[in-house]
Amino acid sequence: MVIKGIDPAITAISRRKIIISLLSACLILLILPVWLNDYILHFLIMTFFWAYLSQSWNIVGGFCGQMSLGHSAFFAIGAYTSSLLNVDLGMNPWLGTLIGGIIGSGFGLIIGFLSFRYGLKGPYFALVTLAFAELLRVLVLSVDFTKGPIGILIPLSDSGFMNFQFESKVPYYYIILAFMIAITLIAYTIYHSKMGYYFLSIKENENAAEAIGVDTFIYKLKAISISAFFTALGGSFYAQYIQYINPGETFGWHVSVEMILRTLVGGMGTVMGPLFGSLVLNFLTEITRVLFGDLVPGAHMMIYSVILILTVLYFPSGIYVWFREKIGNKKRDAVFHN
Amino acid sequence: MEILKVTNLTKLFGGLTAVNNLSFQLNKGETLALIGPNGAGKTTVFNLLTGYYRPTSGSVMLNGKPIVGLKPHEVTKLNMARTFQVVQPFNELSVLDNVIVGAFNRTNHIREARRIAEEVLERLGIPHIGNVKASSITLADRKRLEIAKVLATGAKTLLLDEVMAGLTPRETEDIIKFVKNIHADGITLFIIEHVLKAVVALANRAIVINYGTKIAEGVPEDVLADNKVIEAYVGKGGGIATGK
Repeated sequence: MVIKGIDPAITAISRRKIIISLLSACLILLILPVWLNDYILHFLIMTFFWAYLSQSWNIVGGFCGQMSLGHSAFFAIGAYTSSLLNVDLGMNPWLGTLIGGIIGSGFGLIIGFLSFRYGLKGPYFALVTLAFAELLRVLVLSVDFTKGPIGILIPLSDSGFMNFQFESKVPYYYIILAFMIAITLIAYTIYHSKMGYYFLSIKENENAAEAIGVDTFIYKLKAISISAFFTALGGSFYAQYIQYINPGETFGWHVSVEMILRTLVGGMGTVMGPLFGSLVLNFLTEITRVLFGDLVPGAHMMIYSVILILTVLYFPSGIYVWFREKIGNKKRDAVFHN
Repeated sequence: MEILKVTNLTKLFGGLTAVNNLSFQLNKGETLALIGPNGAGKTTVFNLLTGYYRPTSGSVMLNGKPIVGLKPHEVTKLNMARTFQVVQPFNELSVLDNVIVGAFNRTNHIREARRIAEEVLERLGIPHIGNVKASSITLADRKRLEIAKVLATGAKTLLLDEVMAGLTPRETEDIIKFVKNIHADGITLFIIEHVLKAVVALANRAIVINYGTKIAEGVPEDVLADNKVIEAYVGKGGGIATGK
């Protein structure tokens, strides 16, 4: 089973190197919290958090090529579902998180069905998702049942795993780290399966995909429902960590954008892209805020924007892809590998 | 035994009749050519047969089953697949991965799909470019890739849309040889071709359409000598070189 032209020994070695470096990184991340203060812990938690969300978006946006601009809808559905069930019915937040995921996934199916059934693609699909997110935001803002603009305060309960609430940041760190590793493994598994190949083929060329047996409608639905499910779970984590949610913060357009940005900067349609992107962007945000936040109000935002533009100009395929080409096997130039 | 039976196939685009009451059949194991001048409606016929367009009227039976209204992937699942005149590779994927997508039509397992894809690339003589990005390969190789993708699906009836277009004489010879090979393996072929040398070399029978209407049918040599056909291609008083 040898493809002529590629030395299997090189591939084997680099594969081993990659696995070893990934495992070492995981090990380091696991023991890190012992030495860290709350500020850095929060930074890492948010980095993993955005990496998790970006990876969830990546499944439908990067792999399947369906640019959803309204993923904040699923995020907020998750946050609101687990919070409302907790506050109004006293339901365990973990259970509420799971239910939030299912409802989020259901919404994904609805939005997907309506869009794909009528052949909406590209910018039209993006607009529909954006409209849905806005629709839900205004709805949640106006209805008493969801507590409107006041938002929901997660009631304090005893610190403990069952309550999904902790005094110290450290358990949150481990939970979101686990989330991030899990979603990355899921993305990896999808990528190297029939579903992943079909997603990528749909992104590249839907007509050609149809011609060789891909049911593009069903697979797009699969992509959006899976993506929505995990995005919603992220919303619940956010609610439990920050302990306060409101319509603007959760359904806001900035949530959708941050997810997309990190995937874009890291490398759309790759497994490690969202992680790299989140690391780079979160680090940049923090550094510019620390260094330049005092200069002129908003200076750090401007510098951040410039860095973003430069990244898109000089690393158009994403930082991860650039990085991989630099250290990887020069003979391979196709996107699809590891 | 007839694989495809097309009866009174018609397609109107507003006031334009693209395909006009076309009837023909494709028999198992044969190579049928669809020829005609540019704009005659040949690719439209392919689109109608494989679910990309819906016929205005008429019926299409594939192995006795009516397939009008089915989506393209459903037609592929019924064992009939088409290629595109302008090749449509999955540009950012490697050549091997392109073919693996096709192979997944027959299996759900990545290992099996990879095995099938490697076999197909071997058959097409391009295993060495397996790991190259599809957008980086030559036109001739892209044409091979186009065929590889549909072969990998396991479809037994292939609709090839102008595979020879844009190739040098040497490349054309190679592809003709290859198409003969897959035909010998039992694949039924329906080909659209402008390169008449290829038509004569490959086809058992040919149908000629002009302005969406069938104007001749028969053995390629006879059809190409038919006055109506010559007139359709080159106007009155001309002749057609077949390179024979």
